[in-house]
Parts: sequence; C-alpha cells; structure tokens
Amino acid sequence: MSGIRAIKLSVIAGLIPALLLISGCSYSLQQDTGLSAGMLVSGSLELSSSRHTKPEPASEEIPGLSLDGFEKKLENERFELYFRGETGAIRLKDKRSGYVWGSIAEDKPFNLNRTWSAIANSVIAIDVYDVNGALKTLGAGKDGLILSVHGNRIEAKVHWPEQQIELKFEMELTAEGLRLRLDDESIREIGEFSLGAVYFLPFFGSTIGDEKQGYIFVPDGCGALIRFTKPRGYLQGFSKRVYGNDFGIDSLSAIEDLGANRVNAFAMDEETVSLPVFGVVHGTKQNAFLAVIEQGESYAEIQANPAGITTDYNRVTARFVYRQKYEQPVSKAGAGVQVLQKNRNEVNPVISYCFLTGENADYVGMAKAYRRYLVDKGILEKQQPKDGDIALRLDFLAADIKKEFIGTSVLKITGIDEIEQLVRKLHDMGITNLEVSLSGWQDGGLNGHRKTRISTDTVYGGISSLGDLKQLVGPDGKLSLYLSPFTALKEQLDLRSEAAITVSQNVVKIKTDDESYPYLYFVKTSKALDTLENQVSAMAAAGYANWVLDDVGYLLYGEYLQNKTISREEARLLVQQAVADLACRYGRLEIVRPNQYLLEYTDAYLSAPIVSSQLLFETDTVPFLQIVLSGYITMYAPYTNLSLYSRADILRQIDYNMLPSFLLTGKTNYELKRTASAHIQSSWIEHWDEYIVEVYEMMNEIMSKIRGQAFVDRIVLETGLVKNIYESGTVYINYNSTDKQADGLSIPAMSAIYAEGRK
Amino acid sequence: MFTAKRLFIMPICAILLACLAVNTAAARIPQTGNSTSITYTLSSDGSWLRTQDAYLPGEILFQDDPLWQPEDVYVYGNCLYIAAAGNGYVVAYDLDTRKTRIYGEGTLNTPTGIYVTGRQELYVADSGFSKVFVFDAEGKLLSEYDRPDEMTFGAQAQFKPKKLVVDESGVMSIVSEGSYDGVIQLGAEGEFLGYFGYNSVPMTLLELLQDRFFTEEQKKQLFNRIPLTFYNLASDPDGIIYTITQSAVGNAIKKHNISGVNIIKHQMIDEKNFTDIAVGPTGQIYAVTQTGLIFEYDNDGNLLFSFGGQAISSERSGLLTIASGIAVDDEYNLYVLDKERGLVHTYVPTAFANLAHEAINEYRQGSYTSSRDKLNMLLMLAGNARFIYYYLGKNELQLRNHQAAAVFFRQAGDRSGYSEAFWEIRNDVINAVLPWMFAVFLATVLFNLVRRLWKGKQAAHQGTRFLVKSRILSDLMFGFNVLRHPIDSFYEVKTGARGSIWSAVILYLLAFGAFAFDYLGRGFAYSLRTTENTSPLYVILLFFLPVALFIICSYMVSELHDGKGWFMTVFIGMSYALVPWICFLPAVTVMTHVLALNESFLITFSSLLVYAWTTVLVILAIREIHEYELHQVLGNIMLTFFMMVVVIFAFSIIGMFWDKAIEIASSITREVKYRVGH
Repeated sequence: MSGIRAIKLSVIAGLIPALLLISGCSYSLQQDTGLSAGMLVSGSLELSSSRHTKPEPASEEIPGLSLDGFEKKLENERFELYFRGETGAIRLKDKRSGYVWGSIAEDKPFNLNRTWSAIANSVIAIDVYDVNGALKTLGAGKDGLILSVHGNRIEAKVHWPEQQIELKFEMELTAEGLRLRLDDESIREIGEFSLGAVYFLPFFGSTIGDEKQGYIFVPDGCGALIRFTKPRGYLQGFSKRVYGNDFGIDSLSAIEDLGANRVNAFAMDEETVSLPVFGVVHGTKQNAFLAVIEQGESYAEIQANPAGITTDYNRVTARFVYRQKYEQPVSKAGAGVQVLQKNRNEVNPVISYCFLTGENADYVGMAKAYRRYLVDKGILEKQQPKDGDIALRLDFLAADIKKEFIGTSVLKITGIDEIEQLVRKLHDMGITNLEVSLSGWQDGGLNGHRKTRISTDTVYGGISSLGDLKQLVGPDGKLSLYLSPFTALKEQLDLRSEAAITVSQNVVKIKTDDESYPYLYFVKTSKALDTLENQVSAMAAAGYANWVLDDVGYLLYGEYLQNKTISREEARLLVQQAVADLACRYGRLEIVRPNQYLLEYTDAYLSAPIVSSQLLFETDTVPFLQIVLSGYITMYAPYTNLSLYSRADILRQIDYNMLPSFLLTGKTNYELKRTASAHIQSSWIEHWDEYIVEVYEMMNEIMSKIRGQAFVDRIVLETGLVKNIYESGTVYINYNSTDKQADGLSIPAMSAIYAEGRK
Repeated sequence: MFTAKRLFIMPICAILLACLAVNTAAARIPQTGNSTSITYTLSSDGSWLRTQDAYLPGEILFQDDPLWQPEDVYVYGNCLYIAAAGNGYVVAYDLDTRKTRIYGEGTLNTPTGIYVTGRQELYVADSGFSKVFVFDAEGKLLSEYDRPDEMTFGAQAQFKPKKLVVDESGVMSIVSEGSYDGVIQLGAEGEFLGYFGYNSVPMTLLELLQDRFFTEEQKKQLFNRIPLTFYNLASDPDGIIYTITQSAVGNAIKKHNISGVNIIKHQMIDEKNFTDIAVGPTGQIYAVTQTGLIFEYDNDGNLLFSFGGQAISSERSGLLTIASGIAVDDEYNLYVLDKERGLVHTYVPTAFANLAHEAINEYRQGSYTSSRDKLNMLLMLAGNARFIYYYLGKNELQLRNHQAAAVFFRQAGDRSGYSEAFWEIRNDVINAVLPWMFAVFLATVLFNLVRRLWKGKQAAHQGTRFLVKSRILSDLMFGFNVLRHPIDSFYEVKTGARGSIWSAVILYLLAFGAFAFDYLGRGFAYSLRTTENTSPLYVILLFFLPVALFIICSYMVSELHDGKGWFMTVFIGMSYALVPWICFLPAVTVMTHVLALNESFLITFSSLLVYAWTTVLVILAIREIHEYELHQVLGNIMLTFFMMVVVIFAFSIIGMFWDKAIEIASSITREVKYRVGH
C-alpha cells in the first residue's frame, strides 16, 4: 500500500505543473522542456476552433428591408405588421429602432427560382406527401390565402387547391413581437395527399451570404452560432428535433461502418436540442430576434441552413412534423421499406418571435429574453445570491456486473468506507459543501438490477447501511441516489411486456459499442414512470428523499404498440406530471440534462453540455443555456476526471459558471475491466483525491463570489479573453498562453480573475 | 492424432479469438467530451478501448476559399504547403500571418506530392506532366526532372511521380504510379540511383502448392503475380523512409532501414486504406485512412491512439469526407486534407497526448525515472491502456526493478517483456537458493553414506505391485501398464479383460482436465489465455468435439474395413491411448511457469514428445483392436480424418439451411403482419 501511496504522491506532485505546462501556461517550467516555441501556434488553432466564442467584428449599421408595396395591417406601441397581397409576404417594423424585418428583399430575386421565391415569401409553408410518398414543399402565395383582421390579430385561411389541403392560422402582435398559432382542428386533408409538416416564416430574417454581419443562433448543446459567411459547400444543414430523437419512430442508428479493421464506431454523439428556441442577429448589438416555440415543440425540428445549402440564403425556421417516414423492416437481416406514418400527429404549434434591439441584440440578449419568458411562465425562480463556498459534486459508482468464466458476478466497485474516508479527508481540509451521489447502488449493481423492480436493498445491504454516510455528509452536504428508469440492458427487463415498441412494432434498441452488452433497450414510458414513483415512495418511507434522475431528463419517446399508442406529446406530459409530483412531495430534484419541460422541477442541472456538435458551419460555441439558467438553477459540469481535466477545461467551467463534479471508484480502472463499466478510464479515488482539491480550490476562489448570481452580460474582448458580468461582480477568463490586459486589470495566462462590481 | 488436430484447430481458434477481441464498453453515462470523434487505444488485453481525447479538432482552414482536390500536405516551419492537384498549383499558407502564396501556377499541371527541404526548396511531384519540379522560396523554377533514361530503370517501367521526399544531399525518393519495383531514387542531378524497398508478393496456400507442383510454362500461363505498389511515403529528420502500402494487412506501414528492409518486424494494428503517412517531431508515426481514421504509433510501430472518422451522416470538425493527406508540425498539431471539400482540418494535441509523447521520448533518451513518473500520471488518466503499462514495464526493466517490470508487462499483455523480466527474477532466486540447495544435497548424500556404513547394505529393492481391490481402480491403474507394455495392454483391452466404460469415461475426463489445464493454465510467458477471457463452452467443444468425432469416425471406417473391434473396445482402447497425455501434459504446463521464452524449445520438445507418444499409442490401439497391419492402420486414420471433414461440412450446410429457412419463415410472417396492419 505504501508503494502505491508513494507513486500517487509523485503523480500528484508532477501532475499540476505538467497540466499547467501542457495546457499552454506560461510558467517558468515551460522553458525547461523547449516546448514553449510553438505554444502560440497550437493555442491559436485551439482558440479559433468552434469550441470557443469569437470576438464580435465591427459592423456598420445594417439597413432593414423596404416597405414598398406593403400594406400596414396591425400596429401596437412597439411594432407594425405589413402585408403584401401579391406574394403573401409580411414585413415587421420595430418602431424602437425603425428596423424592418422580413423574409427576402424582392418578390422574385435573381438567386431563387419561382418555387423557392414563393416559399421564401410565405408566412406558412407545408410539406406534402403524394400517394406514392413523394415529398413536395409548398408556399402559400396570394392565391388561396384569405386574411381577416380582428383587433391585433390576423386570421388567415390557406387553401392548396391542387393538393386539396386547407388550414387556418393566426398572427398576433404582442408586446414582444409576433406570435403565430395553428390549430390542429383546422387542418383538412380532403384528397389523397397527406400533410407532412408545417413551417412558419421559413425565410424570416434570412440574409444572402456574408452581405450582412450577423449570425443564426441554434440551441445545439449549450448553444452555437452560425455566422453569416459566403456560400460554402455542405452536405446538409442543421436539422434537429427539439428534445432529441423519438426512438420509437426516428431511425435509430447512423451509418457508422467504415469497413475498418478497428472498431467502426467513431463519432461522439451529437449534442441535442433541449430548449425550443432559435434566433437571428442582424448586426451585433443592432437588431435581433429570438423565436420561442411555445407549443407543439415535441414535434418541432429546428432547421438552420447556412448559405450554400440549396440557396445562397442563411435561414432558420421551425418545422412542425405532422407525419414522418419510418423504416418498416421486412426481413430479419434488416432490409426494410420507408413507410409514411398513417395517422397524423396532433400538433398545435405556437411560435413567438421576440425582437431585440441595441444592447440586447446578440445571443446574450436572446438568453436574457428567453430567461424572462421562463420566469414569466413560472418555470424559473431566482436564487438569492449566497456567500460561502461552492458545492463539490462527487458521484460514486457503487457496483456493476462483471463477466466471469461462467456467467456474471456483481463487483462491488466502491465501498462505503472508501467514500467515508474521502469525505472525512475533504472535511478536514474545510470542504464541507459536498454533494455525494451513488450510482449502481441497487442490489445487482448499475447494469445488473431489474429495472422494474423496486429496490429497497442496496448493494451494501439494507437501506440503513447508508445511514452513517448520510450522517457524515452532514448538514452542509447531501447524499443522493441515482435512478435511470428508462434505459436497460437485455437482462434488466422483460422484453415482451416492458420494453418500448417502435412504430414498426419492434423493440426499441440502440447499438452500443460493447460486444458483451450489444444493445441498450428502453422501458415503456408508463412502466418506467410507475417504477420511478414506487421506488421513490418506498425509499421515502425509509427516510431517503434525495434523488438524481438520469435518463428521465433527456429521453422522450412515444409508445407505439398497436391499439395502445402514447404519442410523444402524451409521453412528455406523463414525464412532466410524474416529475412534478415527485418535486411537489419531496422538493425539487437533481436532474441530468433536463429538457425545458422539466426545468421547473430542477434543483440542480447535472452534466450540463459545454460544447456544440461542432458541425462544419457552426462557427462558435456559446453558453446560452448557462446564461439562461445561472442564478436560477445550479449547474454542474460533466465529470472533470472523465475528459475535462485540463486547465483550459477548468477555465471553461468557470467561464460557463458550472460547478465541478467527479465520478469516482474505489477500484482501479484496471480492475474495472470486464465489467459493464470498463469504459470508465480515470476514476480511481486514490489517483484523483488530491487533484479534486486543487480543482475545487481554483474554482471556488472565483465562483464562491458569484453564487446564485445571474449573468448580466458576456463579452469576448479578444480571441480567448472573455469578460462575464454578473449582478455584483465581473469574472475575466484568459484562455491564452500570454498575459492579457482588460479594464486596467492584468489577467495572467491561462487564468481567471474576479473583480468587484460590474465593469 | 493430437498434433494433427491442433493444426486443424488453430485457425478456428484464431478466428474465434479475433471475434472476442473487441471489448469496448458503451458510454451510457452522457459524456460531454470536447472532441467529435472517439479516441481509442488498446486495452491491457489487446481489445479496443475508449480513452481520453488525444487530439481535439482545431480550426478548419480554407473554409472561405476551398482548394480543389488537394492531394498532399507538408509542414515546414510555420508554413503549410499543399499540392492542390485540381487547381494545378501549390499553396503555401502561413499559419502566423494567415496569408497564402501560390507556387507554380501555369507551370504545374496536377501536383500530387510536395516536399520542402531545409534550403526552402519546394519539390513537387506532378503526375500530370510526369515530372518533378523544383522551385525556390521565391517561386522561381529551379529545375525539372523527367523520366530517367538509364537502362537500369527498366524499359517498361513507368515514371508517373505521385509523392516524394528529398534528403539533405538532394536525393529524391519518389513513389510513382504503377511502379512495382519499389521507390524510385533519383540523385541530385536527376540520375537514376536505383529502386528502394520492395513489397513481397503474398501467396495463398493454393498458390504455394501451385508454385511447388506446376511446371514453368504452366506458371507463366497462370500467374501474373505482381507485388503491391507503395502508395505514399514520408521521411524523418534522420532520413529514414516510411512507406504505406494499401491492401496490405499487418505491414501496411513500413519503416525502411538504409538498405530498404522493413525494420518493424511485428504485425501492426493497421488498415488497408491508408492514404498518407507523416512522422512526428520525435519519431511518432501518423497515418490516415481514406475514411478519415487517424492512427498514431510510437517509434516502433506500437499503436498509441486511433481517432477521427468520416463525415457520413453529418459534417463536423475533425470528420473528413475523403482524407488525402496528413502532416504534423513541431508542436504535434496535425493537418489533415479533405480532398472532397478542399479543406484542411486541424487537430490539436491534448495534455494526455503530450504527456504520452514526453514519457515515451524520455524513455528513449534514457531518463527512466522521469519517464516512469509521467507514465504514472498517464495511468491516472487512462488506467487500462496497454501502451502505458508497456512503457512502465520497459522503464522498470531498465531500472532493474524486475518484479515491478514483470507485473507491468503482465498488465500490458506483453509476453516477451514479461519473459525477460521473469528470467531476471528467476536468476535472482536461483542465485539466492543455489548454495542452500547444494548444501542440502551434500548433507543428504553424507547422511546416506553414514547410514549405509552404519547399517550395512540392505536387501535389493522389491518391485511394487498394485494391490487394488476395486475393479474400476485397477482398470485405471492399468493405464500405467499401457505406458510400459502398450501392445500387450491393448490386447488385454481387446479381449475385454481390462477396462470398462466407466474407467474410459474417467480417463477421458482426466484427459480433458489435462487439456483444459494446458489450454488455460500456461505460464504468462507462453499464453495470454485465462479463465477470464475464454468461454468454458469453447474449451469443452475444443476438446470433446474432435475426440468424439475421431472415435466415432474411426469406428465407422473400421466397420467398412473389416476391423475386428467393437465400438466399446475402440472407446476404451482410445481412452488408454490418452494416458501419456494425462500423465505428462500437466508437467509440461507446470514447466511453462518456470521457463522463460528463450527456453521455449524445452516446452516445444516435451510437448512434442507427449503428442508423439499419444499418437503412437493411438496407432497401436487401432492396430491391436482391429488386428490390422500397419498400412491398414494408416489407411484407417487417413479415412477417419477425411470422414471428420465430411461430417463437419455436412453439419455446417444443414445449419446454414436451417438458418435460411427460419429467416424466410420470419420474413413471410413480418410481411403478412405488415400487410394486414396496413
């Protein structure tokens, strides 16, 4: 044991300077290795990657569109809405700035053909499938569009004669801007054509190439910007379902076969959209809008197309899916046919455009506008700024299954005593604000317990075995248990009666890259929520009321068993109701990546995304989610030890105002081999305990000063130099490998500093 | 019998093990990493393992002005030189000022290879003009080289330069399209110096046989065997040339010594579609596949990391549509060309990769303690990665901590390293124990001598006799008789005087025990198999399937060939033939625990002895039981093997038909269900 200690001490002693050195920090050590020469170059490639936010370029004042040929239909104190009968196009004038918003400048611009011009000018466009399943997109031009004005609303009736489809929608001027609404009951499909999808304002706020300075904002992961550039070649644009894919109907696996000798799976999962918003900026700090999908978001898809995809226009819109195609397998080997969904989804889309001018016209302003919307709806509640140290989250993996010569066994990965020892050690160092969670605590371990059985026993014995630990974590901290009722391995559920079914009547499963456990299955939503409810009640009786909900937060799928269908929207309501009930009885919960409909019940947001999907056209990553939630919901970063261990990553956690969290095991990672958790590579307590303290102290020094505070502004002063203004203080983050000056302060290389007051 | 069976089984084993080898785990915890692709390394047991990001996608270059079909990239100083084949010129991109400069516009046709020398001269391979052009830093054309006209170049040989490297003295090494003789080397004046390196022609078993038996003329008619051509090349500062060969497996990458011989002797983990290779600042080898997978190896060709991938379903930073070139700068930043999109994707090394580079470099420079400390840090970040344990073992070996080295090599799954450490440990033990053993031996001899003198000579040693009452025990004990007097013993078995079903069953089980012990229990230096990584069913089948098949087939063949034995006698007789196997194989297995790899001939020799003995006994058993002559016995055995093959073949066909039938039935039901449902 002493040998191991000695190794570890030397590891820790070496790690800190090494991490500083390697992440490009300009300490004296740098000269010793001769690596310093190229640090600037390496830094520049990293800092100009799309994982960072770029400084805003200077921009001249951008003129709006002209109102020639448009007729004023609605007006309130802030906005005027104009309409052009010839094309069915609208213009919206923001009276505060005089800026005129619209779709495209002309009736038929030279760079769009007739069909596209019609779509671009439309307030509403639809996707229609003919009998053979061929898809066509149609705009709503002057023919077939009948408007009637009622106060501050316009009711519109649209009719597509050839396809024999009719619907009614409504436009309303609000204090914030424009709201559009479509009633599902107004849709008539008279002929044999089927309605596929509806778009509102498909080209609203579009720009040609890089003629205007600005960007599209999409809520990809924590948020991403698509800056306007010259048209470039892309395979496809941004198109993501709000709240992620519906595993019951969307195709489940991307083609990932490279025909390689090594493992074929190569791509990290793309980030998902957890907030139903998007936006456009025309000239930073000049004019912008944020669109919030208020209803029907379970069926919405955010589509952003940068210049170069089909047209030279940068455009973003929401697509509401009424019917979609799915794969119907016809052979065991997996061959299948594409089939159009028979019954139309019931979708009542409501989308509102909130217009921003001046100082608010950027992604920070959008985040603040969205935050206001959530506060008004009662979803968010302001935290009080707090003094004292920040929390430190320590998750422990209690047990998991291990493949043996014959069958599997349950391997106890972390003992209670090991956790207690670490907690005591941290207490001795004065770190008492500990959020301790256990995953895989059930009898049978993380991947070995029956998913639909209520566990009152833990892998350590009866429930009382956690008593001492709970006591020890004490009044400043909290002990909670992980639950992931939605996902399971084959052995954890009864596939016939408990597994979720796709629309093609197969069991929902997604391929993992683990040969021993090749598929991940999904539990029926209703069944999973029952289990959740019963599990929590059973443990509440024993005095345990702290829970971390894992997959409940970010998974949403319909239930498509024949004759017993639960739609995606119904599933969303079920999940929301179940979580609301728990929150009502036991207080708000800790949730891993909650979608918007669960934010109201979220006490702590775990494993918050810190990057976008880094799609080719995404130029910047921005902490939109963090700006919305800071000061309202406590956010924790993904596990520092699993991939965010470097100094640059820790700076980013400070930049994004996310608290540190670690996943730890009592067994070494070598000992985890052949377990279902063998993919965890860096979690041994004895390796990490001292580095945890280092990270915590570095983050606490700054973040303890801004506890419970909301973002006021976030400014990128220059490449790799960020200034975050909070309610009563300012944090500067310097990602560069050289010292920087700002507001008369010096910010050392690879460091963050705090200054009192708003600078 | 068993030697033959082993030969038969080995390929099956290899296939099955290959199937077992992939053992990466799913990421079920939502992981937000920085990268867009998964970084893999090899785990301690040789399977692919997800690990910390080694490189992160950095800025993408040329997004606003994409190149047209770029074919090659080279980094010199702070400048990126790209052979833009479609554009017909070379682009130099300054990474500091972000300015581009164009070389050879109008002069070049289809530049596909670029190299920049220390004198800042640009060498460009133009496959369109079939020439090599040289420019100075200002863009002035210095010289151009055409097809060499020397006789030695070969009358038929083509000169279509695709890629090239140039050494300090101006010698050009050129990969030319369709050049089967190797890399073309031209002197500083363009004179032909010779071919360098070669790819041997891999031959299939059939081709080997044909080669053996066909006449020269037949061969001429049949074969047009040509070696694989080199696809791309790179050189390191020492002038060592690295090549890649597409479609080669295990040696797609070659590191050539001065005479062109590949100095990476082991089978590498590689791909068949590498398109470019680059050498890192301290000798790391980087290779990229057409599908955008990037592999990094250490100086000796051991895999460190594999990452990257193809933009199939979505285009993201670091994923490529078609990768055509890779280059690495002094800070380990990677530049990868996307030929389809005309972009350069960059990769920035993480702390993890840098630490690994430093640790390996320090080991190579002899700073073993410092290297070890860095490796221990790496262990904190990737606790099950093979290369970390491997280098820890190598450091400990150099530091003469043999115990620790043995443990690390074991964790790295490195048998030769382990064996080396083990040899040292054993040496220490022997050195410590030998005097004592000698003393004990001397004492015993002395004691015996004294006792003998005291008591006088005793009566002659009496032969022991097995006095066993139980029939089954006596039948088992009879096994020892088989060892001494096989012919007589098998005769007794034939007459039914000895042996029973139960004794035979016990003997077969014992033989299986010996087999399983040997299969799973060999010393680490001799086998990587353990109970952990082998399925019990597999071991059982591996033994009982061939044994049962052999006995049954042998009996059936003998029935046709007027054999005199009953099935039961064959069954019992064969069990006795396994006695040497049962008695001596475990001893061999135990020996593997005390012998190092360089003494492996002892193991080979003794196992050969056991196999041979067993085989002889099998032959004798058949002969005695069926009252055969020797040639009949051999005929029986040959036919038996033939029949075994037929049986296996028949069963697999039935199996396939069965599968197909089930699939057809199931798809009909699905179709019906679907039609009814709609």
